Formats: sequence, C-alpha cells, structure tokens
Amino acid sequence: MPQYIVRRLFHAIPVLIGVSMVVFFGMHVIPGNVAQMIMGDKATPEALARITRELGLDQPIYKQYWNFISRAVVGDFGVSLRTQNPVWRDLWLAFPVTVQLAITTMLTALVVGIPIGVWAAVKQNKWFDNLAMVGVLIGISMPVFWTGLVLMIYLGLHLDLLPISGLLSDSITLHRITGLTVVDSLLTGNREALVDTLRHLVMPTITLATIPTAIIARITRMEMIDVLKQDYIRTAWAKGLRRPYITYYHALKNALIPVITVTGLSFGTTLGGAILTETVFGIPGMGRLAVDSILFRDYPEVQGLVMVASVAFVLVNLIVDLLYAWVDPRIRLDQEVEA
Amino acid sequence: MALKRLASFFMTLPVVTALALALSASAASAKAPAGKTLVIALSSDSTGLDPESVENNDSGYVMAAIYDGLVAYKPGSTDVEYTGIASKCDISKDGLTYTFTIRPGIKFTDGTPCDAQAVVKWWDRLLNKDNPVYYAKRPGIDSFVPDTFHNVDKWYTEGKDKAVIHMTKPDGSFLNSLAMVWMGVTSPTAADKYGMEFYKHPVGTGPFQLVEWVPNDHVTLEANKGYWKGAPKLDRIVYRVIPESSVRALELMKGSIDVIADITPTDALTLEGKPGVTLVKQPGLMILGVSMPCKTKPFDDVRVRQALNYGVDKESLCKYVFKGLATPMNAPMPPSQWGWDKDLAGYPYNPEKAKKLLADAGYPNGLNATLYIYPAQRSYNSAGGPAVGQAVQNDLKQIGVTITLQQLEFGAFLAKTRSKDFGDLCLAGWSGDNGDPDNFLGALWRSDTLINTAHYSSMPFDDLLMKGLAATTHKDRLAIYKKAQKVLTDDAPWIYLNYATQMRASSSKVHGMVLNPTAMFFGMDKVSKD
Repeated sequence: MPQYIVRRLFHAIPVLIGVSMVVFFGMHVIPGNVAQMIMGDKATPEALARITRELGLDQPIYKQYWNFISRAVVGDFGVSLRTQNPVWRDLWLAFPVTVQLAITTMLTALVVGIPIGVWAAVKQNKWFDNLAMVGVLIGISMPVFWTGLVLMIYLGLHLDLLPISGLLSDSITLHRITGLTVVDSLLTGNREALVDTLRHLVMPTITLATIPTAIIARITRMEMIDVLKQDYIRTAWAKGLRRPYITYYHALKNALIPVITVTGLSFGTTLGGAILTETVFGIPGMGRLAVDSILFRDYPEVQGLVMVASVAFVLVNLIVDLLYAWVDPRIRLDQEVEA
Repeated sequence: MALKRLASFFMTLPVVTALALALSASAASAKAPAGKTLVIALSSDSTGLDPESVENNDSGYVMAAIYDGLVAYKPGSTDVEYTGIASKCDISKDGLTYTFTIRPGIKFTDGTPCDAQAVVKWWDRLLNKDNPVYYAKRPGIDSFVPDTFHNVDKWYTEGKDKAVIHMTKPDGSFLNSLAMVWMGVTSPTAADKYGMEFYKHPVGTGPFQLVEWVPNDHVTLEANKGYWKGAPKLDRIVYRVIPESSVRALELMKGSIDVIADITPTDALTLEGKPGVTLVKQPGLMILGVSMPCKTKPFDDVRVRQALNYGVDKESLCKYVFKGLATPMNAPMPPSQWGWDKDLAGYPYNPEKAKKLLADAGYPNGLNATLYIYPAQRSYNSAGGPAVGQAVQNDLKQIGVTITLQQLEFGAFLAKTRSKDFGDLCLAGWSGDNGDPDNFLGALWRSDTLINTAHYSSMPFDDLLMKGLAATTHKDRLAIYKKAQKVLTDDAPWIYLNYATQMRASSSKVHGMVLNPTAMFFGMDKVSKD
C-alpha cells in the first residue's frame, strides 16, 4: 500500500506540470494585459510600460514560465498582481473556506442522495421512484445561480429564516485558527459563531449540493437495481431474511463503489472552486478568488489556484482509490492485473 | 463490515441533519449590527488602503473615512473649500506657489501631530524618489500623484504652520486634485514604520481608523473619538464585500446592510419606493459617447460627425435603454462638474438634418462604419456595451449609416481602441476624478493624450486648455472653459450620448449621508443611524 501511494503521487508530477503549462500559456493568450487592468480607463503608454516592466511582464514568455515553475516547486507562487499579497497567503485564506463548503456539500449530497436512490430502487417503477427521478432531473437541470437566488429571496428575504450572504454576521467576532469557520467556532468554544456560521452555510450548501445529490441518487438507484437482481439477494429472500436487512446489509454495500467514485470526483471539482455559488453568496473562497484573478489577468494568482486545485484533485482521487480497497476486500491496489 | 458501517451512517445522518437545521433555522435571522454600526456593501474588495498608491473605487470608499485631505469638496459638489487639514491656501499671482496654512491641534490616529512638517514629509514621500519610503516602491501600482504633482519642483515648511509647494508651470486644477480621496494625508510615522506594507496599515487624521481587514470579506473601521471636527456619530463602519448586485439589493431590503455603495440601474428600479429604503439620485460626474476617428475618412469631415450626432435619439436612449437613469448630453462635461455650460444646445435628435449634412459631405447614400464595444457595464454606462451599441446602430441605420458592431473583452477593447492607428468608432466614456474641467476636456480631447481615442487635435482647443490651467481665478477659468466647451461641441469628435445618473441606496434609518459627485464616502463623521 505505501508503495502504491508513492507511485500514484509520483505519477501526479507530470500531470501538474502539464496543467501549469496549459494554464500559464492559456492565460497569456487571452487578450488584454494586467497593466491595462490595473490602470483601467486612465491608462497612459508610459504608465503601461512602467507597470509591465515592474511586474516582469516584458520578459520572454518562456522565461516568465521558468521563473514561475522554478519557485512553485518550493511552494513560492510569487506575489498577486491584484492584491500585492504573496499568492500562498491569498490561497491560505481562501482554500479552507472552499474546503468547508465542499465538505458540507458532499455530506448533504450523500445523506440525501443515497436514501433517495435506495428507496427509489426498492420501489422501482412505483410513484416514489417516478417522483424521485423527476426530482433528479430537476436537480441536474437547475442552474446553480438561479437556485441560489431563489433560496435567498424566499428563505432569506420573504420568510426571513436565514442570512442571505457571507459566512458570519457582522456582529460576530471569530478568531481564525484553521479558516474553517465551523471548526474555529468549535475550537474557540464560540457557540454564537457556530450557530451563526451554520445558518450562513445552509443556503450555499443546498445550492451547491443540488447537482451532486441528483447524480448520487441516480447512480445509487441504478446500482441498487442491478444488485437487487443478483442471485445472492434471491438467496437471502429465500432464507427469509427481512427486507431492511437485505436492502441495507447485503445490497447497499455492494452498490456503493460507484457512489464513492462520483463523490470523489464531485468533491475534487468543488475544491477547485464553486465559482457561481461563492460569487452569489459572497463567500470568499477559491472560486471567487479565481474569478477576480482571471478577470484581472493576475497570472501568479491563477497559476497558484490551479496548482492547488490540481493537487487537491489528485489527492482526493488517491483517497477514493484507497477507500475502494478499504470497503471492498476483494480489491488489491498493489497487485498487477494478470493478462 | 466497513461498508455496513458506512451504509448505516448515511441512513441515519439525514434525521440528525434535519433536526440540526431545524433548530438552527429557528434562531433569529441576522440583521445589521444594532446601535451605531453602519454596514456598507461593496462590490469587490479593497486592493490597498494607501491613498496615493491605489485607484479602485472600493478602496476609495473605505479610505474616504480614514483620511482627510488638505482641502475638501463642498458637500455634494466638485467645488473646493478650506474645510480640510489646511485652513487656507495663498496662491501666488503667477500661480506657481501654494502656501497652505495648517490647522493647529490635528493629530493622526497614531498620535503623530499633523502639522506643517508632517505635510511636507507626506509630500516628500510622494515626490522624492530617494525617500526610503517612497510611495511607488511597490511594483505595479498606479496613482494620481504624477498627474497631481507633475509640475512640482519644491516643497518645504515656512514657519511652524505653513507648508509650501512650488511648481514650474501653473496648474489651476491643483486644489481640486488635492481634494480627491486619493490625496489623503498619511502619517509619516506610520509610513516610516510600515514602509512598503503601509497599504495594509493605513493611518490618517480622518473620523475612522482601521480595526480589521479580512481579505475578500470585510473591512471594519472604528470611530476616531479624538477626531478634530468632533467625534463621529457612528461607532463603527463595516464595509462588506458582496459581489453580486442583486444580492446587495436583497440584503438592503432585509435590513442586513445599511448602504449599497454601487447599485445597478435594475436594482435601483427594484428598490425605488420600497419601504425602509432611500434612493438618492443625481447627475453623476460621468459622460458616455461614441468616439469618432477625426483623422480617418469619412470622419475627418466635421459634417459627418455632426450628422451622426443628430442621427442618434438620445432622449429615447436615456428613457428606454437606460430606463430614465441618464440624461442626454448637451455639453462635453456633466452638470455636476463646475463650469458645465447649461446653455449649449448640443445635438437634439434630427434625422433630416443628419441626412442633409451627410449629403453635403458627399455621402447622400450613407456610409459604413465599425463600432467597437465592450460586453459589460461601466460606471458611466449602466446599460452595458451591447445595449448602447445596438441602440446607436438602429438609430444610425435610419439615416443610412450602416454600423457593424465588434465586441471585445474590456482589456482587449482598451488595447485596441487606445492604439495609435485605431481608425474606427468605439464606445467612450469617462468618470471624473478630481472635479476639475480639465479632467474632462483635457484628459479626453487634448491632442497628446492616449485616452483621446478620437485622435482629435485642435490648436485653438489646446490653447484654451493651456489657458484654463494657467488662470488663477475661478472666474477666469469659468470663462475659458465655457469657450472650450463650445469649440468641442461644434467640432463633435464624439457622438455625445448622455450623463449617467449617480445613485446610492441606503436604509431609511441612515441620516446625514451626502452623495459626492466623485462617489466617495466623505463626511462620514456626520452620518448617523437610528
């Protein structure tokens, strides 16, 4: 197992290099330049030239890339052209926020999606199954942006049940330790902040979880239907075992492998930045940082974001593979496949 | 076994989660902090709080409460008065020497006295490149310092209470520039202490001081109880970053925030008349037009340019495209700019006259042209590039001018339209910086300025601009700029479209807030909240 992990991490290196090159050169292909973005309408040729020179943007592109990658390998992504902060600092502030949102999103997707999928499979072609699949279709189809605004209007404004945006109310002071407001509230014993931040997370979580919930429900249903037709399930019925036992002990556990895959992929994608949700709800995570940085042509920041998101994605998928081996003893990750 | 545990976990968690959500949702919903805290919603985060080294509006909104200038704008106006750090300013007859008398007893919030020596040290930080804390040592910043102080060659104290600045050429816009939020006086002690990091540790003499800045989330200021004009009525101001405009409107309606700094026309119309919301509207310090290449056929003929001006229905544009939140242009400066000539007729819609002018110029069958637009809204163009472009295209079609629209992302748009050989039409607009006429007329149409996308060049006009800067009395400058506006209107390098309406939405519980044409939050010491 350790050898497997090391091998997987080693294979990730060319992936990360490739990703960094695609993004770096892609950013430079986009028209407009950061000097122009800094100055906006007030640009003069002298000022544009000065800023371009000061930021090292007048150097050949391959040299700019080498400057970046040679520092990135030791964790130095340079200084943000927009915020003037070290990129790692901006990422350190934004990444935990997105991690928190990704965790609440995936937990919600799993706790809602799996039971729906299971029950839809058990009641296949009955009213619940049909209703569930219509719900899945709606969930997959609804734009995140629209869902968020509808929730804000009804739950936030008309019913006044939940706060509309942000992560904490202005009247709450929370000492930052990890950057995850829920964890920091628990660590500092700040009950008021805990309740407040959980309330702020409800709507963005529901918004972001809509699509993965629908996907998980659908895949769970599909796998459960397949598993419930297996011979060993028929044997279990023949032995007189009760339905809940058959469904949850014998069937569900064998249907979860693809669910783990989807969960891993969704989690990794969300870690890269839930752009729309974070923008709509005013959450200062990776997604918002990405939007602001791309629009500003903030090359170092975008590069840093992409590298962090890529590493996160690689690690999440590695964890997913390790989970396969943990949940299904038949899977041996370190064994060669025999022809 | 592991799978069984996993499966059980996911089947019981929904019940627990639902219960937790129900309990948490029953708590009272968040309102704006009670008492004397004002919450202002911004569309994006500040990029720095050193007034001389940042230029974006969201930073300016925060800095207006932290710093004072040597002089200040009259409330709600671009006229300058001596209600800043300087009690008066004597200008020499040749317009080259400005002697500021500094009020006694003012202190920065770090305790440093704000006297003549501090002011001169502030100037030195801005103007002396050998100063160890020279403001521009951070790479990649842009500033109004070069434009404001471009003619300055000496700065020194005279006695204990006078700070003197000398320039090589007169600059009649100097006092207006000094009133900008970007010319806030900074503490020399703090500048020495923090060096290049000063932009994160602002220290001024203003009514508020920085408490906390959480990037991309909020900035919190607290009252400077020892403020020289008297303690502010508020205890705190929180500037919250809410990028989405409709969300800002929802928050204001809910009562979670008190003021929206930047409001879109759509949201303004939604909020208008809503209980508990006050919407302030006034002509902004902004203009919008279509720039025409004055050195490229057929637009090198003034009759063609005038024809296109007569060919666009600005009244309808303002009413339907801008939803009544703009007024047609009659002059190249907006009404909120002192010196605006209200008597100029401009170019009212007259398609018959437009056709006649085109025919006289040799284009009886019309002509073709390309109009470059950008996709999004700008502060001076709340309808957005495509909407305005299409409206202009439709109107000009009626007089035989076929317009092809070319849309470019804004950065690419600027790069394209600011190039020396650009020879097409393009959307053009401007937000005033310092409330001085030269900031419009000179910045946009002086022969040698990059922003002159029309490549307009007129010796008589340039001469008037030079005289306007050299004049030392307000009365003389008024007369000169009146002439300049007439010349520019007649020469029509732009299709003059409209002046955007400046708006600010706030809770009805907020009192004393006066909207300045530069949009900055000046006078926050006088703002109160029920």
